[in-house]
Amino acid sequence: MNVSEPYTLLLVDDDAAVLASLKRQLRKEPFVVESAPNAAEAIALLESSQPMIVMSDHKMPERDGVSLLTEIKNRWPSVVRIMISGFTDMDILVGAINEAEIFRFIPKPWEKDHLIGILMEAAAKYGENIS
Amino acid sequence: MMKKRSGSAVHNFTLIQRLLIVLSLAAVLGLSAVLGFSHQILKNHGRLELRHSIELLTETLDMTLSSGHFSNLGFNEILELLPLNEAVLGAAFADPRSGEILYSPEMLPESFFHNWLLEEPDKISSSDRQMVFIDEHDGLHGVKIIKNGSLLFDVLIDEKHYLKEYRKLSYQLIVSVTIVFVFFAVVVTSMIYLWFKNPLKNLSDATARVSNGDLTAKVEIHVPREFEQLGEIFNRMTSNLKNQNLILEETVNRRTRELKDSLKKLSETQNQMIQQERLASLGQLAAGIAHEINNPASYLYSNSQTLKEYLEVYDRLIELYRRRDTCADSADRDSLNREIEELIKKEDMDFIAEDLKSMISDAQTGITKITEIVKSLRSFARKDELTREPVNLNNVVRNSLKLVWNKLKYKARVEEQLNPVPDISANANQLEQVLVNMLVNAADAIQEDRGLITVRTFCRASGNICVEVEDNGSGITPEEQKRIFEPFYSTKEKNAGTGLGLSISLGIVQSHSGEIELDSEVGRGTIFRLVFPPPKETGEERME
Repeated sequence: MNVSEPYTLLLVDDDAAVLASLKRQLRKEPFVVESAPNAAEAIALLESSQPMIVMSDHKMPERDGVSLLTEIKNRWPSVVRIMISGFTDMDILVGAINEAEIFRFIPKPWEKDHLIGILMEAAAKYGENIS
Repeated sequence: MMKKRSGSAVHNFTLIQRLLIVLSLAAVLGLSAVLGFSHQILKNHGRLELRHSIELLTETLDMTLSSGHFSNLGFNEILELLPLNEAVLGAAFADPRSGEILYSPEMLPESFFHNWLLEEPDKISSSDRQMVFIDEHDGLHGVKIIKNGSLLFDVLIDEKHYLKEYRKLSYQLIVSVTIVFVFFAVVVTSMIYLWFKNPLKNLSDATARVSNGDLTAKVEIHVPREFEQLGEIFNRMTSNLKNQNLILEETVNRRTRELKDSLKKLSETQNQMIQQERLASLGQLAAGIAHEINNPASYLYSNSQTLKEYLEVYDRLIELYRRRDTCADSADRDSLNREIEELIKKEDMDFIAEDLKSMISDAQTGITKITEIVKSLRSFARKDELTREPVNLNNVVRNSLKLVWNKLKYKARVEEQLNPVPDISANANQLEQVLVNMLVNAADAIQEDRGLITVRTFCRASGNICVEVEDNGSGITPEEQKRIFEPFYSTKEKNAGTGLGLSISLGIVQSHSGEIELDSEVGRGTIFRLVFPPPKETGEERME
C-alpha cells in the first residue's frame, strides 16, 4: 500500500542544534517533522498520534535511543525506526539491530541526499508495514 | 625445668688421664688378685710342709722315746734334734734320768704346756706304753707324748714363726711384681698416648677447620689402621660436603635467577597492565571525544549544506535585483519585480534570514564546545609535565574564588572557613583548575537564587590536608555518584559542560597523591573534599 505525502516523521535528539539542522534540511522535503529532546517526550507524542517514521539519537540523558526504539517496536511495530548517532560502538549497533530492529543506521555527520534517500525508503517501508 | 650439668669439670679427664686411671685400677686389681692368690698358695704350702714336719717329728720322737735312745741325750740335744727348732715356741721334757720336767725356754710356765691341749686332739696315736697327741689351734701346733699317764715330751711350734720365710718370699714377690706392673702400665700408657695423640690432633684440627667453613681440610693418618679408616671417612665426608655445597650453591643461584626472572616478568606484566589500563581509559576517552565532537561537527556539516542552498537563493535574488536595477524597460522591470516577489515568497526569505542567525549561533556554540573539549584534553594530557612548588591551599582557594566570582555571585553566598594548613608540593594552576571546577559544579547544583557555598581548609588528625566545597543544592543520587568521575558523564544540560571536569579533577588530585571524597544527599546538598597526604619533612614548611 502506497502512503501519500507528506510523510510524518518524529526526530529525537537531546541536542537542539542537531534537531534544528535536521529540520532545516527537511524544510522543503515532503515531511511533516516533529521533535522531542528525550525519550519520555517522544513516547508522550507517540501515545497521542503515531508518525510513520521515528529517527532517534542514541546517547541521551536518562534513557538511550536503543531503549526508546525497542519500546516503539514493541508497542507500535509498524512505525519505521531509524537510528542516527555519532556513537558507533559495537554494543550499541548490536542492540539497535537485535533489540530495536531498526530499519537503517545513519552515522553522524550525515549527507543530506543520503538522509533524504533513507527517509523516502523508510516511508515506502511504512507502506509495506501497514499493508 | 632446667637440668644442670654438675661436676663436668671433675669428670672431664683427658684421654691419657682416663687411660692412666683405668690402667692403674687394672694394675691394682690384678696385683691384688695375683699377690693374694700367690700368698695363699705359699701359705698353704708352708702349712702343709709344717704339718708334714710335725708328723715326721712326732714319729721320730715317738720312736726315739719308745726305743729308749733318748735317755742318753740332754734336753738341748733333743731340742737340736728337732728339725723345726727355730719355730719351736717352747718344749717340755721329762728328764729320763731324774724324771724332772725340764722346760725350754724356761720362762714358759708349766701350765702353758698343760693348758694348750684340747679335750679332743686332732690326732692321737697310741701304743701300750706311750700316747701321742697332735693338735693345731690358732696357728699353734702342738705334740704331746705321754707314757704311763705322765708327760714324757711336749713341744709347741709357732706356725707364724715357721712361715716367716714364706712371708719374706711373698713380700719380695709383691715388690717385684708391682715394679713390673708399674713399668708395664707406664709403657702401655705412653704407647697408647703416642698412637692416639697425633691422629686425634690431626682429626681435631681438621674438624675445627671444617666447622669454620674450610671444606678443603684433609687429614693424613697412616697408623693405626682404625684412625686411617676414620681419616679416610672424614676426607670423604668433607669432599662430599664440598660437593653438596657446590650443588646447593648452584641450586640457590638457579633459584635466585628464576626468582629474578619471575620478578622481571611480573614487573613487565604490571607495566603492561598499567599501559592497558591507560589505553582502556584513553579508548573510553576517545569514544567520548568522538561523540562529543561528532555531534556539533554533524550539525555544523549539515548546516553548511543548508547554508550553501541559502547562498544559492541569495545569489539568485541578487542576480534578479541587479537585472531589475539595470533594466531600462518598465515592463521587464515589473516582470522581474514579480519574479523577485515570487522567489522571496517561495523560499520564505524571512525564515531564511532568521534561520541564518540561529545557524550562526549554533555554529558558535558547536565550535566553542569543540574548543573547550580540546582545551580540557590538552591540560589533561599535560598534567605530568608540570612543575611542582610549595603551594598553600588557602591561596589556591582565594585565587579560584576570584576566577569564578562573577558566576557565583548571582547564585549563592560564599562563606570561607580557612584554617592554617602547611604547604604541599603541587602545581598551583592545576589545583586552581580543580577548585574552579568544584565551585562551578556547586553553583550549578544550586537551583534557588540564594544558595550557600562553603569552602573550608583544615588538617586532619592523621596529618592529611583537606579542602572541601559544600553546597546546599540538589545533591547527587547514589547511582550518579558511581559514575560521576567517568569522562563525559554529565548530569548537566546539553552544552552546559564537557563532562570531563570531574574526571580531569580526579586525575589532577591523584597525580598529587591525593584523593577526592564525596558526601552527598539528594535535596540536602553535596560536599566535594580534596584530601592530600601530609608534606614530607623538608624543613621548609610554612603554615598560613
